[in-house]
Amino acid sequence: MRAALALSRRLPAVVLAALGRPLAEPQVVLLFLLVNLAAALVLAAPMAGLLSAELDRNLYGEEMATGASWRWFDTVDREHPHAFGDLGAWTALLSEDGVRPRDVARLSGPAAGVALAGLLLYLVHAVLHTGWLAAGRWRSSEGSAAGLLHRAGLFALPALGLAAFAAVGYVAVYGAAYVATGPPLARLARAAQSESLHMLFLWLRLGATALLLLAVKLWFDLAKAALVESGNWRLGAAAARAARELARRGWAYAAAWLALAAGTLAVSLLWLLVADPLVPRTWIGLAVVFVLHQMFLAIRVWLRLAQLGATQRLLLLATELRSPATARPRPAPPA
Amino acid sequence: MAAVSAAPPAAAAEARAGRRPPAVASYVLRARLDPGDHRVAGRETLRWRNASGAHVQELCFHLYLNGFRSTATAWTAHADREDLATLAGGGWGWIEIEELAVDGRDRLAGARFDPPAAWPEDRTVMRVPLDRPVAPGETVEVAASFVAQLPRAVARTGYRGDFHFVAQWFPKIAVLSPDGEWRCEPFHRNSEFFADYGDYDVTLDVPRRFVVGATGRRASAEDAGDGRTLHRYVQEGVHDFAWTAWPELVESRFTFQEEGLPPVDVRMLLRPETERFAARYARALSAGLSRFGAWFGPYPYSTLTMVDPPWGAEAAGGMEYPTLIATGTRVFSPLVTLSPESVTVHELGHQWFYGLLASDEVRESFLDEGITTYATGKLLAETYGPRAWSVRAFGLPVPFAEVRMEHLIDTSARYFRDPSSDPIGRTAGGYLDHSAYRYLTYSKMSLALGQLERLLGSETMERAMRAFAEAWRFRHPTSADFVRSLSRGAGQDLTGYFRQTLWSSEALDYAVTTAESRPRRAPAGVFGRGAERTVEERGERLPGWESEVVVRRLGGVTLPVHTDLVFADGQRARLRWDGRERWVRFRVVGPKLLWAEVDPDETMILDVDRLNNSLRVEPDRRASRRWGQRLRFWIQNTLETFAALA
Repeated sequence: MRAALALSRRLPAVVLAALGRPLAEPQVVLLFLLVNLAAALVLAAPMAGLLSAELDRNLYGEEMATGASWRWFDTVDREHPHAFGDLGAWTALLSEDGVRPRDVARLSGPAAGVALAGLLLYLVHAVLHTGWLAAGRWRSSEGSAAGLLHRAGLFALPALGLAAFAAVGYVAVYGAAYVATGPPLARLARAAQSESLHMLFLWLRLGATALLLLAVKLWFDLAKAALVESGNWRLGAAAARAARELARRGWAYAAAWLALAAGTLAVSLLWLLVADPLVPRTWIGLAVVFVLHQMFLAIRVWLRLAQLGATQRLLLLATELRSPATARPRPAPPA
Repeated sequence: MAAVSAAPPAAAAEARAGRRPPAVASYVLRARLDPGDHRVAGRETLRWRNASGAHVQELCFHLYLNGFRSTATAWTAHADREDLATLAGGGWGWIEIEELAVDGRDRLAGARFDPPAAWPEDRTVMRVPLDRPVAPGETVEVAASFVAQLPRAVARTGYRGDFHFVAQWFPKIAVLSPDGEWRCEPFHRNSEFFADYGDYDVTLDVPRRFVVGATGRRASAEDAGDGRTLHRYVQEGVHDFAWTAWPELVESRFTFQEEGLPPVDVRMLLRPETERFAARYARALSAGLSRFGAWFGPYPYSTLTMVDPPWGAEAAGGMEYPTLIATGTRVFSPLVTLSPESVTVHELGHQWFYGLLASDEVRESFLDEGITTYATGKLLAETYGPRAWSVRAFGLPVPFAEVRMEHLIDTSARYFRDPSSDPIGRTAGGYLDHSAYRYLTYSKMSLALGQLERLLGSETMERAMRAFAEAWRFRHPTSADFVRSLSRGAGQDLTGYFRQTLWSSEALDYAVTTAESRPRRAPAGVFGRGAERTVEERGERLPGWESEVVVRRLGGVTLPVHTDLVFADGQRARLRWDGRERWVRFRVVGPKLLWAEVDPDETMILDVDRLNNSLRVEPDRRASRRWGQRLRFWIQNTLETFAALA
């Protein structure tokens, strides 16, 4: 109980410290941003080239570029069905019925490319996150061969394993919880002849699914921190420890994690509000929107790293609070 | 069997004056709804007059509920998986005749079903041989009792829970053409209905808790005892009767009044969840009664009933019956999406093109659907302006107010993707598939009419459409009648136009394929002869530019078209081409050409590819760069969302 109280008193400090850590390492935030930007540019280039061939000698190019006319966009899509892939597949992903394998299978062309790149980026980020956590944990050995090795690759393979495990977890959670609950609830709503009830069920499903997703995500983050702290490659042990920690003081992790997630939500909402009026119409507008967009993404990267950092810091605190008299000596990095 | 009263003298006088159609098939119906079994037990008395010039040896009836009887009918053979899933598991529909007499003599024993060869189990057409021929002008009386099992809501009829939409529910006599041929087609998924005008007197026996809406005006509502009510509806001069019953329906009424048009008592039956849309429904209905009344002649009936089916019974929505329309919307529907306005206006439009001009919806479905879609787009544009593009994400509409969608053109995207599968002029069941039926009869036909309006001008088009609507009011026009009537109204022969757009599957596509401009030079080469021979390797630069533009006709449709050439000094030249050849080359000497555009006023809205309608001499890279930025923006966001899970 005393440990729990001590932990709760330290929560604000943990959150603030977590926010400060990525700020002290702007190169890390920049690295994440560059990985994203490079992937996007590679994916956008062929489509932009094709559009250039279509638009640059066309009087309607301007109208299409502002996005104000649905017709021109549809015409390009019709004349070049492979330019964007099956756009309807993206809409299907937002369906009330949930994401089904056949919807995912409909993703084609560049749309499928973006989805695959997204998955690849997911794995890359998982590795980078773990490396970042390790770099913070093993700062004392910075510069040593062991530290370099550690940061360079030691955690890469375990992180990939965890990442794949978590990816399966997400799909399982989303697919099982959302899709499986759909038909029976839809039947209930239809029997009640109430669309309002249908919408209520739909949003309850979404909410419940989102909570499950967040729980998996929190466990995943904590498992990464536990893996780094353990200083070995034992994934199972790290995952089990993370589960134990969540069972003991999940409220603390969730509070810190959600406090920072709220920041991401706030900045996303702010972006949604300002993004529409910022539709680029001039070269200066294009440049301003580009910079603002990168800033927005950088803030999101920063907040995400802060979430990870807070999880790691809480884990260490919990360890210290469990043995306040004799703090556990920091293990040496594996050679 | 109760005797059927003849049309009152006033009705006969109105028929002679053209304000009401002469009655050919008049019904007295009595129906009892069993809401538990979703079954209707009915008795029918039909007075049918042979309006053809031939003697008739048999009567032909439609029993369209039998289309939902099994998977062995022509209707289910063309149904999609969703419809079949709706019917399976106890949702089948059928109708069975228990007694049938013609002029008092039993004829049921000799009656036979007349299925199409491919679906021998189909029972949607029944022929009843007569013991003596019916002479031209003679009237016979048919008395029948029947049981109609409603299907689970599908194809604009049926039940869901205790909601009932009862359509095609009684044995309905087919139309006899003037030459004595029965227009008696099996029920097909693509086809709707075709029937003769008559007077209806219908008594509906339903449990007291049900709110009832029906074709016509309510004459009485009496307590029938046993917790039931008898609702009597009557309507003269219509060609079908449908009704709905649901305890939850919320009634909202208003009277449409406008100078020069007769008043209409409008009854809106809404589900409780969409009651708040009453004002929007009323605005759409008022706009329709006003504008359609002005364009196509007044709505002649004293009542109009609109019903918004409940959640789960959407299949009963989006349908028209005489003086009764079924609409539909979602609980979250901002005005910019124009839902429910567009479906409401469309179904109301059918009161003219189906109701008052009763074309054959089986053989020429494009006449009512295409004209109504055209009229709907015209009215929506006039009343509401363009709609916003929107998608639905997890049940909620996400409208993009900035992205405008123009009526007619932007709602016809599916047609532009496959413009040549069939000509429009086909029977409803004769198209490549259901999708082709929809985008040809609804979209292409409405585009063809919208394009004609741009070619003729709105005033001429309205005059022509009015002439058609007046000439064929309360009659059965064919597509040939439509073209003739429209030509007369427009003051020019439109046969050639409709031959290309209605009876041909050719596409319309004009394109500027070359637009070049180069400095003008004196000729180079060898000039003179003998001692006076000179060689000019590079001609002298002369004032001005030589420009060349090639316009090609890539599609099969041939229409005269304009091409604009725009020059660097701001001059604009408009050149006309009759479009008969496959291409035309324009050569101009003058200022430097900036761009060329064919059909600059966007008259040819049937043009399947407007991207190729213009060409700049020098590329302008701003557009593609902006698009590039947009793509990058969305891809970065998508990737970031994926990465956030890591």
